[in-house]
Amino acid sequence: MDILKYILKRLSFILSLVCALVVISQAMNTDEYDRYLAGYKERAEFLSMAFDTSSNLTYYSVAAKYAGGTYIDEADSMLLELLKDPRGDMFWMFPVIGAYLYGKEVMSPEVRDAVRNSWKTYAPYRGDTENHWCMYYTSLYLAAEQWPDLPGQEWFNGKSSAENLQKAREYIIHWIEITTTIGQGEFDSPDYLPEYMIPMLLLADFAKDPAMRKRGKMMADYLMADFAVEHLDGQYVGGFSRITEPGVYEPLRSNSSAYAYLYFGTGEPRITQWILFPALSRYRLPEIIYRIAVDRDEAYVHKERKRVRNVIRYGDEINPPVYKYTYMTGDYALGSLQGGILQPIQQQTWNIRFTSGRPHTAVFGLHPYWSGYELAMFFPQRKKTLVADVVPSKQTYNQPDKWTGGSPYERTFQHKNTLLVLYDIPEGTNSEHISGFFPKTLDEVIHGDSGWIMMRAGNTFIGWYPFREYDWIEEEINWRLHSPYRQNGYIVEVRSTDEYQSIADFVSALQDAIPETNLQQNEVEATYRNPEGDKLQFTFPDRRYLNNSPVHIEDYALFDGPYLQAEVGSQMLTIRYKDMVRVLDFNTLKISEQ
Amino acid sequence: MKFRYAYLVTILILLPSMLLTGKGEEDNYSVYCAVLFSAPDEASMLGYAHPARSVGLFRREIDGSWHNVHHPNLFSYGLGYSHHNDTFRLYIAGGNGLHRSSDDGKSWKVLTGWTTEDILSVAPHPYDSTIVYVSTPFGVFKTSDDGQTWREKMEGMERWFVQKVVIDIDSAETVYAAAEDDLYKTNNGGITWEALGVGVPQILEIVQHPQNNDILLAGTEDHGVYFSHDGGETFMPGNGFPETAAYAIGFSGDGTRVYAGGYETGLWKSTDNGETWKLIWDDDSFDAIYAITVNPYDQKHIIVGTNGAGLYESTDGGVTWQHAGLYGAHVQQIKFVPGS
Repeated sequence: MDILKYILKRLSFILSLVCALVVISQAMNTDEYDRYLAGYKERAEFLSMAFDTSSNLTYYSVAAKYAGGTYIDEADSMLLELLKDPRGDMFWMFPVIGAYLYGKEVMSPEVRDAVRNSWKTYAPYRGDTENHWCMYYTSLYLAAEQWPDLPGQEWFNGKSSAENLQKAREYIIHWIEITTTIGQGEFDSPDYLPEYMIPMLLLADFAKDPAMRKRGKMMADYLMADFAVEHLDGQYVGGFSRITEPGVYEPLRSNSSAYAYLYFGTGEPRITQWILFPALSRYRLPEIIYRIAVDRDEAYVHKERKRVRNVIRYGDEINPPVYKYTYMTGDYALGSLQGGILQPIQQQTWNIRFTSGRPHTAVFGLHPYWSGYELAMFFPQRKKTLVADVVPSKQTYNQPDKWTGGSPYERTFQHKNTLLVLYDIPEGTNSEHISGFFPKTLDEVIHGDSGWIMMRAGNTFIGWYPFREYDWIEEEINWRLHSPYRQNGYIVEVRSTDEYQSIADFVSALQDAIPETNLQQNEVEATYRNPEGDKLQFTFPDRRYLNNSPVHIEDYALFDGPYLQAEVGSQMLTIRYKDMVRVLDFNTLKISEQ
Repeated sequence: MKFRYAYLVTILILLPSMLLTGKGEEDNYSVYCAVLFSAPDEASMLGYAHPARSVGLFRREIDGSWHNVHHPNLFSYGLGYSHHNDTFRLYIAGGNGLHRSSDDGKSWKVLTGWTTEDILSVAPHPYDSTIVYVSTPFGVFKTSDDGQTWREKMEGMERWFVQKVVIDIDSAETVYAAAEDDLYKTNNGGITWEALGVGVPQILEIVQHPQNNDILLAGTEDHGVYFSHDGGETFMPGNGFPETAAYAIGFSGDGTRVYAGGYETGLWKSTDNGETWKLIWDDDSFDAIYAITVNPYDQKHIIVGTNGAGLYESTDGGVTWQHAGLYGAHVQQIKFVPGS
């Protein structure tokens, strides 16, 4: 009995201790999240202050003034001035309805009438991409809610308030449904994240219909979770649907980095109009997403399935799948799409991004391809004149030295922190070479006898093994690898000081890691065994073997990694972090938490 | 045949008023054109501060100037009109959908929703104003209730991009669709379609002889002009026209001559319904011709819409040409519209 009592006593002590630890841990967690929220508030105030006190004639300054409840007269006169000449189409719609929604209770009746009248007299263009439609229809939805029961004559498009409300609602629900079933079309864009987040936040804050408010909030969670899991030190990482210069080689210049600063407290403060509405919003990032964004203690593989934006010509499917693979560590991330034309103009098929050597914290390669054929896949104008139509707004598109864009003649195969890239470029293609970007902020670059180009960026070691001869060209902020061979490829290896003590060790490990290649036209292939002993066999375009077993990228889920899981078609996203779970169920519009 | 009678009736109705007023026939028409883009430098010549401000549907005024009859930034691919029971309707096929005006362009309503995306062409039914066909990047859509609802009409089509729809001059149930893989025809108002087998893909233009519905001409992306003289049973390549893009084809009102142009082609003319072609005009100021129309009452009056150089016209059958306005405009379609 004494023994039993002793055991019970001990057990009860241990149980009490565990309970106490859990309570303390939760208290610490709560404290940490409270600290996060306090920091968030400071950052939001800092960002909105730049607009609140600004006399620049923008809808953003107006919105900030109304939201802050200060300088109302100034905001009124600014808004009246702006509404004399509305322009910007869907880029006009959301800031003007946003400013109105923040100010409608305090603005003068004259200004209120001017805003209303602008939705009658100015006809914004709907645009031709997913982000345009998201901005257009969400803004139209909110406006139609604000001015119900008006006949068609009172709206720029001749539709009544009820018609506009219904059509806009249908589109928003369609976009959410397609995104949560087969993936976002303009996915993971460092530059275009705000074009989706702002409409969703305005919806979450101001929709009168509770279901639409909920949709806005849940999609904000969805987009931010999608970002968080591929976020490193203020940077979006992995393959991108759309990225522009300079963000492609200076990651913190992308608009999503302003979101990283506001929501994750990472990177650097960045004042841009694209952050104003998030800074004003009542939306708060759920703790679980914040923690996923900043915890990089353990390396992980994260896979995703997205979709190509609407293919109107030359395709067998309207929205073919995109397969993403990202390897994340605390020092670097290596990420890739499978290759091919997945988006027009601004795709980035693969990159390495790292935490050291700001501002140019990226290494990547590409085939700088352009064609009317590519553009005609996505835009309805004529194939032969499309390049000339596009270049005025996308000036680098037809430049052989450009740094963005996908190619039908490029394919990737990634396994953890090893990447194999192959090119099989037909003669006569724009252009017939491949390029690599290497920033001058790298700490070391060694062109070794083995053929490997070895680099160090802080704690990150990068090895690049070109299959063909190349020129190493010095440019203003970078070296350019230029290899003028149409059948081509390279291996990229990335490791950190967790794995190798010095770059010398890394050089030594890769010394004998030389791929076998066949670089004949229509027969481009490579076999490679990495320092860990994994064997990658890759035949262009899509035959991939890992350790002699076929790799079925077509089996990828919408999200598959330690933090995010979602099945194709599910309309559900499960977010996990340690013992925390949050499920976004778009079928029932419910959020459940553990 | 009914449509031809309608054409004749229109002429007979208009003729007395023309004689009474002493005005020429052309004065009873307005010329409209649809503009998709406009080059910034050229747009400033139009007095617009922003290039987008010089796109949309334009009508030519008496003084020869062009006036935008819609909100001034509607990206426009095509236009159409119908005239029934004293109701005149204008349509714009544009980036925001299909727009309709029943008051001569004073007010407009968008008839389509988000599912149709860009509308690339419009074909209003010749006798029933409730029926309209449109072509889109995602197929042919049809309304039978005056634009309240739209149904996708794709049964029998292999691919979804359709550049243009045209209703047969004699049978309104017969419609042609210029699609990515072939030219399609329906004889039952779009319920089912059959491929005509032009022999080359990417059909961008389809026109019918104004009096003989057996004569069809198709413009292609890469293989010039194809013609059929047997109602689409067989197609042959037009002789002489370059093997490149043929974006625009336009018959004269009497059908005695037809003009065609495309990418880096200049303007070509055929007097045997598309079988043989002769180059009649070229100009370095543009690289492509997107639109051609011939005044239905004056066979020598031709207007050509270009890619980025606005409009040109000839009043002597194509011997001499003058710039006709809209500097910088990418003109997608031009029409002489009666009675507007």
